[in-house]
Amino acid sequence: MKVVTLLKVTPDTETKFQINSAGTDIAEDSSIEYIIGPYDEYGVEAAIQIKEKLGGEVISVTIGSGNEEKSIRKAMAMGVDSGILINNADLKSSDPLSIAKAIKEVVEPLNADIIICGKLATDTSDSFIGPALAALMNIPVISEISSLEVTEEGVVATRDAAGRKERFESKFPVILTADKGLNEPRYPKLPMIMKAKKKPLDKKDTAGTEIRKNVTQVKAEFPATKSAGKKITGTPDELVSELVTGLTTKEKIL
Amino acid sequence: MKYEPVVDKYISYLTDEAGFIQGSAERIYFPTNISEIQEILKEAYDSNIRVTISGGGTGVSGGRVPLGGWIIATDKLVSVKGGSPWKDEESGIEYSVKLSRSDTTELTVPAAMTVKAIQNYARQYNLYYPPDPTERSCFIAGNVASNASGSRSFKYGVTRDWIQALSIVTPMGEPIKLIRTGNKIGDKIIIKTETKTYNIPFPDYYQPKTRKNVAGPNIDENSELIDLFIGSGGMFGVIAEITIRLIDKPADIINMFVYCNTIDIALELVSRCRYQRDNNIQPIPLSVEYVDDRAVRIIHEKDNSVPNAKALVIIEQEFKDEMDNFLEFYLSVFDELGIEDTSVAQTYKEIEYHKFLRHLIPETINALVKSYGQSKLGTDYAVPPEHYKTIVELGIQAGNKFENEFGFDNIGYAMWSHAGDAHIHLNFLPRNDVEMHRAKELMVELLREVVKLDGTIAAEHGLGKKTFLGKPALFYQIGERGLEKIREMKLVMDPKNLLNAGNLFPVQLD
Ligand SMILES: Cc1cc2nc3c(=O)[nH]c(=O)nc-3n(C[C@H](O)[C@H](O)[C@H](O)COP(=O)(O)OP(=O)(O)OC[C@H]3O[C@@H](n4cnc5c(N)ncnc54)[C@H](O)[C@@H]3O)c2cc1C
Repeated sequence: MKVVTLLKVTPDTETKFQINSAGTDIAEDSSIEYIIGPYDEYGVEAAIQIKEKLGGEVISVTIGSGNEEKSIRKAMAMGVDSGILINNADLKSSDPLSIAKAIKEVVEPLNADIIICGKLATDTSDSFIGPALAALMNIPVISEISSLEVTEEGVVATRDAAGRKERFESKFPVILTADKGLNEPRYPKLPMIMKAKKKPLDKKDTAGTEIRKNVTQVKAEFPATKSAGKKITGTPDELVSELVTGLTTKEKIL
Repeated sequence: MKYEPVVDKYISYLTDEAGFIQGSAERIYFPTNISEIQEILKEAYDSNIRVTISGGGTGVSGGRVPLGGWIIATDKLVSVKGGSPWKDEESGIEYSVKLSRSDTTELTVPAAMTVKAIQNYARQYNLYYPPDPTERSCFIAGNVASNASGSRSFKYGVTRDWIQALSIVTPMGEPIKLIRTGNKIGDKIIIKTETKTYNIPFPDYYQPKTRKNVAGPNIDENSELIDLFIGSGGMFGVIAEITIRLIDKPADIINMFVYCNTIDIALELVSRCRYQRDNNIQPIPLSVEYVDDRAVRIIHEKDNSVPNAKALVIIEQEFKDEMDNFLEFYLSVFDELGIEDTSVAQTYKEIEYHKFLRHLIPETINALVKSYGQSKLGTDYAVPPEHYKTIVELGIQAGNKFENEFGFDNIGYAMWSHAGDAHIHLNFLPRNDVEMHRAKELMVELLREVVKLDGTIAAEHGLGKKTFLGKPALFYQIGERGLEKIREMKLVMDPKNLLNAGNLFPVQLD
């Protein structure tokens, strides 16, 4: 089985961002810890589990801009066999379609049975790459899966939709996007961390595709902070009257 | 000064996390600054009323439990004079703190800032506050009063080593500021306030030869004046503002769970790590902890990816650029000792998760004991490092004896330890008063061994109002004469013995 996992490296979701001086985006300073995108990490774990069950290899593919190697090595310590890293800041900040096209260019020649990625990257939250890649490659996609069974014949996956579970089957090749609940990503063992340092990582600076930027992010700002609420106390009558006064005079809702 | 009667909603202030003693008080004060603390203490002193200081309430030795009188709850001491506002997003609390960067980086924080908030602050500015007590909702002033320590004390020492200055209000209500200057006290402890000079007798009681010790004021000729107020359980004053030292954040930290098939393998691994530190050879781990099979079971029940190992050693290591060499070192030691299974946390979130699992141990034990209607019964003993193996073996013997005598389906004890500092937490889980009594006997037996080994009976939690078999705990370490000496020291600054009365030595109850 050949499994490709798309691995985007994103700031840890706990990071306290600063906005850059131009006010257009977050500031990339050293207080940011870069990690494997949490949903991509479910994908990495799933890929390794498939290899452990059926044999084969796992290859990671990353589009990055300089902060990625540590996280890719961590995925290798978990069990990924080799990686491809396209290091190109222009590409990384281009539009999602350009990125999907670049990934197609890299992934298609690998002839993978399964391509797996996160349902979204926690920094841009586009939920776009998996389905877009499927369209570009003209192969099926099962998105937001929370369970997965793989045999030599194909995959069975389920998705948690509102109030129900949906079950899908597909033959290879197929693209899967991982949701929470799919698995618990493992913590590497020490010898694997050492081995990971020697695993092949193919670094390139371009995928050879056209980079377009049809949409430009022009501004980033923090959401307005809400002022603290007011707690009112008293008898029911007092409560009602104070609430009504508050809603009419202060909040001007009534 | 405004106060509230100690009604139901303040009932938690009458005890602490260990819950072995329930106190009483008439009033509770929530001062917000130094002059309010002064006002309360002066009034109390003039009216002969006892005052007990409450911090975060996570103490486990009854230190903050009031024996009548008033409570100074420090919860609202969240601002320092001249500080800048900083909001802790995790708790939503807005503090005011003062950061100063010159040769060293120092941060002045208010008494009620939690260790977790300080760590969050440091992280945001790429800084680092090394002391890391397992419980992080404690207040920094509580940490200073109890000279708290944590696993990283292995490399970085205890809270004391990170305290640069303290603003304190004396028991009679005068403010003083103490700064670490490098001036040693020699053989005299003289404290000057605006109006008074206190000549405090020099302690001559037994001082253990351990890396950590909080059994009574821990002063010798190399101490500075500020040290009198660190680790003395608030007996010499209320700590209001604290200046701590911060260092640059280490580039990377990993936290390794190392699963061992035998206790001997685990102990050998601990001693290899200690060798690195004692001989100043890199890599020196940040922390080395030993967790026994019973405590591992607690973690396993929460997360079954953690195997039910005979022993777990938790090692934290920091790196700048030398990661490869460091990992090679551990790998070769693990190979040599036949250790195969490890789990390595590398990202902040993963390390926090490992810490969460580690913290489950005391939490689960404390909850179990409470569910039996009993109070926490655990050792806080430490011995000089060369005796570590002996103390672990004695601890296991005592635990097994207890389990065998009464028969347990669930665990009857658990032991974990800040192994690098030869410091063991052996916790018994008595289900009734008979078992409680027996467990206490076993603890006292072990305690006598600890003192014989030049150890301490209180390495990090302080002794507060703890007693063993009817005597103040400290008696077993320093005897009547030692207790009398501490009393003399205390009475010089607090002639009526009103502030935090009942800690370390008993008082007559009204
Ligand atoms: C699960 C768990 C794990 C723990 N792990 C550790 C650990 O790893 N290391 C460790 O050292 N401790 C540990 N402890 C014990 C406890 O957290 C520490 O002793 C802590 O320092 C207490 O701080 P606090 O703010 O909660 O103080 P409190 O419990 O409120 O008070 C402790 C003592 O300090 C005095 N005090 C508090 N504030 C002041 C002040 N402003 N001025 C003067 N005196 C004051 C009190 O009067 C009392 O004597 C643990 C406790 C629990 C429950």
